[in-house]
Amino acid sequence: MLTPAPAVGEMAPDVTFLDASGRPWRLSDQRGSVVVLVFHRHIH
Amino acid sequence: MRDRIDEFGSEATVALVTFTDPRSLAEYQSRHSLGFVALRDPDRDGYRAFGLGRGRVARVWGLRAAKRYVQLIRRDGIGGLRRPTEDPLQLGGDFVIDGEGRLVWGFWGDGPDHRPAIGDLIAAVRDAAH
Repeated sequence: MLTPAPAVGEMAPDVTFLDASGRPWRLSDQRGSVVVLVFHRHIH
Repeated sequence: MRDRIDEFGSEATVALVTFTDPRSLAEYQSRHSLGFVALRDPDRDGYRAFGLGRGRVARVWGLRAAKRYVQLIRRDGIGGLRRPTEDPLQLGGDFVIDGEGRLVWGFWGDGPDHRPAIGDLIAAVRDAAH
């Protein structure tokens, strides 16, 4: 089920992804720097 | 975006998220000298958390492509079109999160290849960094 989109100005969802080595990459671990998340459906 | 990655500045971490398989991601990284982090979201939990769903066939591909889509489903079933690491209907988006974890800018595409103007994204990053 699709979660309602977070609104601009709210705290971002604390999502966790995997890097190319399979290590977890957690958004909340990036606090202190600006993060740009670019979601694509594929890589070129 | 790869061509203008330097314009995001040293204060920003840029992360490209896809749901591709580990091998494809590793090959992508080895082919390109990336100035950003390439990440996987195999179950697309992050897509859902940011409100990124799937587009409609007619909106994404147009009527002609939609007819072809139906023909393929009739021939191969839906499984033939939806491999785990590829979904032509998945919508994309771009988000800027400030140093406190707050979403300060967002772009929700209404088609899989609908992207924001790169200048708008760079401006949002600069605003967030200052």
